[in-house]
Amino acid sequence: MTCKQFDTMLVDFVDGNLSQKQKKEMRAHAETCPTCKAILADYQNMIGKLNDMPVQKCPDFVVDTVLDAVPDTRKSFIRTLSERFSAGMAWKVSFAAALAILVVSIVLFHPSQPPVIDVNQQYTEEEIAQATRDVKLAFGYFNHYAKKAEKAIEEQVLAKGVVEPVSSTIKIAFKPILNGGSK
Amino acid sequence: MKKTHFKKTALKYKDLVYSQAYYFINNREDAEDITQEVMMKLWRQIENIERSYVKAWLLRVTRNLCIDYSRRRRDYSLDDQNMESDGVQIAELIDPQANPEKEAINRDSLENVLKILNQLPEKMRNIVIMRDIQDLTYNLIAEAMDLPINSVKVYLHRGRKYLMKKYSDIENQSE
Repeated sequence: MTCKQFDTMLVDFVDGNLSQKQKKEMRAHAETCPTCKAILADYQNMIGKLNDMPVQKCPDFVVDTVLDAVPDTRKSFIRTLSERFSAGMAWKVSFAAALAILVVSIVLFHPSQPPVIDVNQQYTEEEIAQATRDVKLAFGYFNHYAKKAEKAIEEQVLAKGVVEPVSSTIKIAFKPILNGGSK
Repeated sequence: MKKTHFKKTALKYKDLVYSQAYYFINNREDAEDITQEVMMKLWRQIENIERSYVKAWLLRVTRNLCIDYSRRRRDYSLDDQNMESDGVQIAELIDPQANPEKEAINRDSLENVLKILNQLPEKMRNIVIMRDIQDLTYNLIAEAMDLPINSVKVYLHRGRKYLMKKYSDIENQSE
């Protein structure tokens, strides 16, 4: 073995990664070459010193600060529910069916149908105005939740292709009401 | 879920990251800042990192930040290199139970090793710290450094030999 070969194999020798034959050759070379013997001793000594360096303990506040800074990722109930159902088609189909029923109901009871008026029934102007406000408010709520449903669709709870036509039908049906009766 | 996973990972590896940064940069405050930055990056990326790769990823990010910090420190402080670390912080590395004579020898020895460790080129320094101080495997080091294992061994060998030579120079000067 040459000194160069000895040097090349030093890393694996100190790691104990050489074969028995190679280890024997290394030891034999170190016995006959004082320079390599000294290098081996210094090399092992240096590794020993580095091994003595303790792993540093990170102060608790370092990670605590980060943990305090990151937002709590607890998900909203609706989101959790949506995700739970999003895996299967059953949820999508049932939601689409519910929307379809809603649309059919709206079409059947559309305000453009001539209202049946009981001529015997008398309402004051104030009662009619109040009723109009209540109905608008109800449709306002409906509109709000319809938007939320749209958002759920955008987040891929429902396939867009299934719901978009339904959603636009709802909008068309409600437009006259939400616009105060004007088309 | 994300926060639980993040917390578990951060607590598990905080000492690894901190130690790597501390020995590389040789300054406690910078090591704390680096650890915090690494953890913030981990928070942002944790869902995109494979669990088996987290440790290597952390070491890689730590390495990059250490390089940035070193550059900044080189830019802003040319003369007072590691002034505080040489004195105050070495004392913290020494076992307080050790006897005074042994402590003095250990202290000198550690001081010298830290001093010369800081003079090693970046790759060698990182690899020596990972292998000889942190006791990490060659596979992990290779992954963190994005180098083949054989190159890691070459850098390690050169780093150790550089430290040996510098250390013996310092020892000879003090005699």
